[in-house]
Amino acid sequence: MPTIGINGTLFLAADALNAQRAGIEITGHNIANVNTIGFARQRVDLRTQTPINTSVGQQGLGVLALAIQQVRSFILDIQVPTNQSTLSYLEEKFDLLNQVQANLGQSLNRLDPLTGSSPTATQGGLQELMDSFFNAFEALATEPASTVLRQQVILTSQALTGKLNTIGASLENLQNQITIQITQNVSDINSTIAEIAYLNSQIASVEVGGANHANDLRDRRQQLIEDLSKRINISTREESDRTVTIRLGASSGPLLVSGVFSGNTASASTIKLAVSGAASSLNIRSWTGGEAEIAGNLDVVTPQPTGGTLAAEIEAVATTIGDAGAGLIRDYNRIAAALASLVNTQHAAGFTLEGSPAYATAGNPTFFDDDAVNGNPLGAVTARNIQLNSFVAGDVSRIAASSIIAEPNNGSNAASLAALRSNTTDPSLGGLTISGYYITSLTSLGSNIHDTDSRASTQKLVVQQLTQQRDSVMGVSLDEETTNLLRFQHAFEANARVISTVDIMMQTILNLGR
Amino acid sequence: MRVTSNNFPDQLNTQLQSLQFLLNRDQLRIASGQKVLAPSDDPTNFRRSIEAQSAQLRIQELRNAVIQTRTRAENNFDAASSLQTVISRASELAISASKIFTQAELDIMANEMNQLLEQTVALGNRQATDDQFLFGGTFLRPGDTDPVTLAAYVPFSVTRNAQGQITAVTYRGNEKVASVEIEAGATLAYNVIGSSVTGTPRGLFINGATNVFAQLITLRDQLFAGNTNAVTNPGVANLNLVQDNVAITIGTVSANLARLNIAEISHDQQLLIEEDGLSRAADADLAETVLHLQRTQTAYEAALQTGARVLDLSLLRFL
Repeated sequence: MPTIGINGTLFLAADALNAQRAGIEITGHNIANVNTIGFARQRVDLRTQTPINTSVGQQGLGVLALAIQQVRSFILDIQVPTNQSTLSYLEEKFDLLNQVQANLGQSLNRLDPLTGSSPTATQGGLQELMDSFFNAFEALATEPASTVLRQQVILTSQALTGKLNTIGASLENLQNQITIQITQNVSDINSTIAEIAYLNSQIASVEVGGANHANDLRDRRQQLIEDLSKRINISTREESDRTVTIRLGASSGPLLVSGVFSGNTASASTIKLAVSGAASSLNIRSWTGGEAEIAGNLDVVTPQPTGGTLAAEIEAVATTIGDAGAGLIRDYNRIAAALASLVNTQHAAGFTLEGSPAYATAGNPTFFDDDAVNGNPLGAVTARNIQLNSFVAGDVSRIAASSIIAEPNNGSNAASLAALRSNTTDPSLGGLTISGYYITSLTSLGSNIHDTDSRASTQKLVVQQLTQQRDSVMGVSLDEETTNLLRFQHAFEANARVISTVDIMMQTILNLGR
Repeated sequence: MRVTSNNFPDQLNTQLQSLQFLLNRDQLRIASGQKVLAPSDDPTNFRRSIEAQSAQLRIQELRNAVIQTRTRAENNFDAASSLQTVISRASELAISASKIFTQAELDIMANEMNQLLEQTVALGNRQATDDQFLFGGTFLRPGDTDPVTLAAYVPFSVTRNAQGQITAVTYRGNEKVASVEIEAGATLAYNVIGSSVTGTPRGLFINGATNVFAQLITLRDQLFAGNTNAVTNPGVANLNLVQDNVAITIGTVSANLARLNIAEISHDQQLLIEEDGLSRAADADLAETVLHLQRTQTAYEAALQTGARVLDLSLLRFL
């Protein structure tokens, strides 16, 4: 049996040239995408051609570029987004809590502490202003007839209520801003889910039959899955038809993507996310894919997201800042209400500088406006609306510093008002003083931030290690690619030399006949 | 492990970020002198610090109250001492009256006695540096007027005869003693009342049956009348009773002053203790922080140097 002959050798070399050129092309593709996020390096799968039997034995027919494959670890592709989801949750939570802390405006200033001489709402934190407020009554108790000290009580009261108003408004504004962020986040999640479903259909059509690999489409889908996992905790599974199924939360959670379907397409199995509810009860709801997007069709998603930025944002709005549960707005409203209740009750027991009972003053009997007593037009006392009664503020002599009628030099009631700093009787404060309740709320927030920071640091290391491991598998090394480039280039040159040698041989053969 | 081209820049970025965070934190600590600025820096120490700072403000306020009260007590002491001087002089005059025989000389003494009476009324109506009456109890304040006569209220209002001499002194204040908190939970009755019907609390000018004004008026009138026997007896004895009452009041005020001094020293010590606790909880150990900054800075420079060197290397440069 003859060998492949001179023409066969020519074809062999030509095929080899193509195979090495493919190698150079793929190397170029890898080098081009060295900085592309989510790109997995690709390799040409070179195989020897099927040999033929000749008289001298089996003879090889050169090389064949069988397939272009990407190099990636499917285990790490699942681990990275899962851990990234936790990290994003912690980092977002840390950022939001820090914003909350900044809005409270309570810091420790050792170099320039507030002395209490003439504080304003913009000076110091709430603690310093509460100290100044009670200390002003303490000072008034020593000189109850002093107009200057009475004015000091008015000033410190206005500074304190001003600070509470500012904090209340800041927290509500922050809550609104984060709610807007949540709406945008949910919209982005729905878009990402739709894009993944679309890529599922593309990948399935390319890879049907198993001959081709949709490498770059897979890179894009994996990148979208990782983006999605930063926003919400998900579980993924690749199906036999090459599509990826995505569920919210665990593998038994609600379906976000199933095959080519998402919440944007008409499918009873997949859901489209929405956000709904008052701030303190904000939660993620959904429409079933294709369902009319009206409020009446919304169902509460169970379980609610526990990872990603979305979970952190909902937690910040509903739990951390919220006006229910252990929220800060609730805490500050309680502080304002307790302050108004305690001070008003004690103030009402005293007598003004003119000797009138505090309650006898024209329709404005309280120190702070109080809905329960004189119908505060703003409603129940909250941090947002607490204010000094304008009748008292209008004339310093109306501060009821005396405990006995017609005794202007008696400062006992002012002393009792100052002593309210140690009062623990308000039931809403759980046996704590106003200041103690405030500090507990504040340090609880501080501990939450501290703990979140610590957990985020640890989680960051986990994600870094996993990402590094995955990069070591799928990442592009320029040195390696350069080496490959040279290897394919040299192979290409050698094969070209084979062709030129065969060409010379053919010329020689043709010249034999002359 | 296979190292890819992006491993170096990625890790370098992470390391530089981490080191810059440490540099920033150390710089902030050195600049502010504090290791705790916000609750999240160290919740436990922040709580201690804010509570200590609050306690300092409270102690400072109590200290201010002590200083204010001491000023009043010193005013009381000064007025009572002056009253003691007045009574001593009145006693001298009363004793010497027995040796003087001419009415003209007795009239001179009576005039002096009258001046002592005027001075005593002035002492009774003295105001402190904060404009409050020293001896009006808790009732009167400067500027108050009698609703009927519209005359200015003072603790001791006087009735005068045609010659302008005081014939009666009426107390307008009350018998209430004002108290002030000078230590947490501890109060001090700081004011001295001018008159007391029962003797409890003690009145400086009128205490039960002991009435300095009545004694001085009687002595003056008896001197004008030439009734030297009555001046000597019971006049001198009655003045001795007044003197004893003033001496007891001075003793009480002195005791108050001593207590106020102790309270002030105590507050100063408490402020120091709170400052020490606050410093331990919140202040940065500068030596340690500077050392840490130095170490971080060295690591930062090393990371930059090695990073620049490694990033610059590539096979491409050798081809």
